[in-house]
Amino acid sequence: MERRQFLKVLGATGAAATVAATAGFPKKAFAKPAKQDIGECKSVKVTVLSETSWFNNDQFKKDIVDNGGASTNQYAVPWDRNNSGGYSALIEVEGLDGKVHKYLLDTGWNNAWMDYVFNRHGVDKMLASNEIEAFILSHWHLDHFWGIESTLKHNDKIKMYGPSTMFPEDEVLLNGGKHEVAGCKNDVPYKGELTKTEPDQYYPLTAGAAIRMFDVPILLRVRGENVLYFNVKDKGIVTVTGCCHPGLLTLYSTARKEIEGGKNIYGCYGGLHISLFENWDPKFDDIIKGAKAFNPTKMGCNHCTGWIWAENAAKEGLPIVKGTDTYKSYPKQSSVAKASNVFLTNGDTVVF
Amino acid sequence: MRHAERFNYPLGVAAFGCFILLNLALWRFFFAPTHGVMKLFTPMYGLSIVAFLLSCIICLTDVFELENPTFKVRRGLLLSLASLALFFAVYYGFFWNFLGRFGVTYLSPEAIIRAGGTGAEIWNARENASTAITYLATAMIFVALVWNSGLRSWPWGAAARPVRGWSRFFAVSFISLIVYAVLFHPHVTALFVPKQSFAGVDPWWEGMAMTSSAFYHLGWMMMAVAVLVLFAHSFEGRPLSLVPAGNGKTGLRLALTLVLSVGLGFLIFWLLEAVMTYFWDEPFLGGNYTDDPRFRHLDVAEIATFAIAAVYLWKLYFGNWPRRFPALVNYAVRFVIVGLLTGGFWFFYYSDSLGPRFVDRVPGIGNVDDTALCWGLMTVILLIVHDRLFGGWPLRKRSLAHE
Repeated sequence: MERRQFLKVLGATGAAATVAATAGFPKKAFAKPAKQDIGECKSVKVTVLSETSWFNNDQFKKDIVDNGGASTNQYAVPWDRNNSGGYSALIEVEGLDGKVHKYLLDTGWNNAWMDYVFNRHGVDKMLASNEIEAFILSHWHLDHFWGIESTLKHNDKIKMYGPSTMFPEDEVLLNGGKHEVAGCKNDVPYKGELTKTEPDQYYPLTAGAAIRMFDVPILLRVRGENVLYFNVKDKGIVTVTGCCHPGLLTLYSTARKEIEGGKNIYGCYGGLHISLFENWDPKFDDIIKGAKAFNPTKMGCNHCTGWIWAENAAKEGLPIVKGTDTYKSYPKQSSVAKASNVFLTNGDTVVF
Repeated sequence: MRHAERFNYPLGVAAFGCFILLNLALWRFFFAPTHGVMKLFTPMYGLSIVAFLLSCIICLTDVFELENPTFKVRRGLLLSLASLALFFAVYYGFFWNFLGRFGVTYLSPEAIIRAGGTGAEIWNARENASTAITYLATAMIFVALVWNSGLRSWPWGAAARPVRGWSRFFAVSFISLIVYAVLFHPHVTALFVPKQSFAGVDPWWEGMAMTSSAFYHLGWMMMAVAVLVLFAHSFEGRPLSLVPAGNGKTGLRLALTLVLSVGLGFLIFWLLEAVMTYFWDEPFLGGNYTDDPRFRHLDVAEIATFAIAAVYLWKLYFGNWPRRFPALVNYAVRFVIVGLLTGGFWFFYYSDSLGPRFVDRVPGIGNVDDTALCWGLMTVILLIVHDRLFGGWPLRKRSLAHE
């Protein structure tokens, strides 16, 4: 009797394990897709609208650690609202025919800050006149998405790309809702066409430009990031990222494996998500050594890259593009900005 | 072993159900990052707490031989309180407020902050101190189990229990410090800006590990611990018991223990990483998530922890079934079951549907900030407390009463 009961239990345990295994089973690595031909473009110009997502790094870290640490839900944190800025970039892709296509990458966090930034760079007018062809959301983090109202107030029908791995709270905000605890709101519901990008898929924008979504778990309970790949004629692959959570070298490695002409790595722009909390880890040394192996020509970085990493990377010989002092003309600056100017800061541009 | 053949399976299953509820409740109260109360899983702070608490329990059971052979609840409670007292005294008293203040800065968050410099605020400081304490605990657990498996009470076998305990404690602590210094300390000294090059060498294992991170050592060492736990509980002491301690064979037994635990630990480490490569392709220096060699080493440590939990779980709540076949068959069947349970734990934690719901994690695989090690070690603690501090009460008591 006991044994029979025991076998039943064993069966139930097996069934439970099967249920548990239904999701998240890793895929076989060598089920690789055919190489993507994303075409070629003549050049890519990136204008740093704002890379200062928060101004006081210590306050930002305090908000996180006081509310559950790295894996807590960003909507459950009562953020210091005076500390918020945002991340956003204007991307201009010149085709081989000379035509320029403009895209907005991310829309920041604090609406007042983003309104100022968009006005300063004329992005508000570009949005209103449909000069900007699409809004690409890298990922659903607060400092990239919560300033959505600043974009939608000028064009609520703009074509948008966002990772399909969004959470219900993101959906609420996009559709004209608010989150009291976190202190974010959007009074302009989105009425356009949202392309929810699926993992490992390529979404062409124009010749030489495509979005690829990486399904990775990200701190503050966010998942998945869109990365922009450009294939610049006679130069090679350039990646443009919001935070680069999947990892710069994974992006380069993916380009080599999946994109026609992806063997030539030319450069990168964006947050690289390394020493963002002004800390260090042996892993960051790994990234410097690993990046050298890809032999990039031009690396523009800022935001969550961490000044310390950028300084060390430049010291170790990586081609870090220096920024200017333009950021000092903005009304607020980051507490960790340094004279070394290894960041492309607010108002800087870089051309690939 | 007759009592185990009469193991009360319905009661075992009921106890298993209680264990699941207690586990999820404790995780939710102490660690869950979004829906928790204390939210200690930041992640390293939470990880260091469970790792060090486990080392305190191992210290009591394997070093000082304080267990509960007569299944007395009062003794179980007393031993549990003693473990907690030891944990608080050493973690906060000795590390944070004595050694950290007057000797080794990086063991105390406050001392790190006082030292100043880039990034020296409470989160970084506490995470860095916690990393060091996690590594110290790992070294202590590994050395204590190797000593206990390989040397038993040697060379103090004839001495009284307190003498044996204290002698072994000092010996294990001394060796643990050397293990820590060589395998983990270089990682900790590299956590600061600037790197503390005069205090620790550059991580010397980078070439073989594809990372400067000491997660490499964490991986194989936890697997070596899992091998010893498997031998002790699923294989009833075999194969080490084939060479009894003493009788001039102590050296041979120690050598066998080291070769089998470290050797098999490395072999399983290598095999698991080969499986990861099959699914996730080759890792590379500086890669992220599943491309990150650091994550893969950490994942081996997570799997090892799940294996330890599986061994204890099967022994405690399912009477280490089967017991009636020839010994080798019993061991083989248990080995397969432990493997399946280990996989079950892994898929539970990393499942996109179950993990976020029950352990409050971000869906997806490869985030070292969301390591399964913390939950895995907490699970092991619960099982060891039940198995060794409470003597498996009331399961074993009831089983004995059946005889």
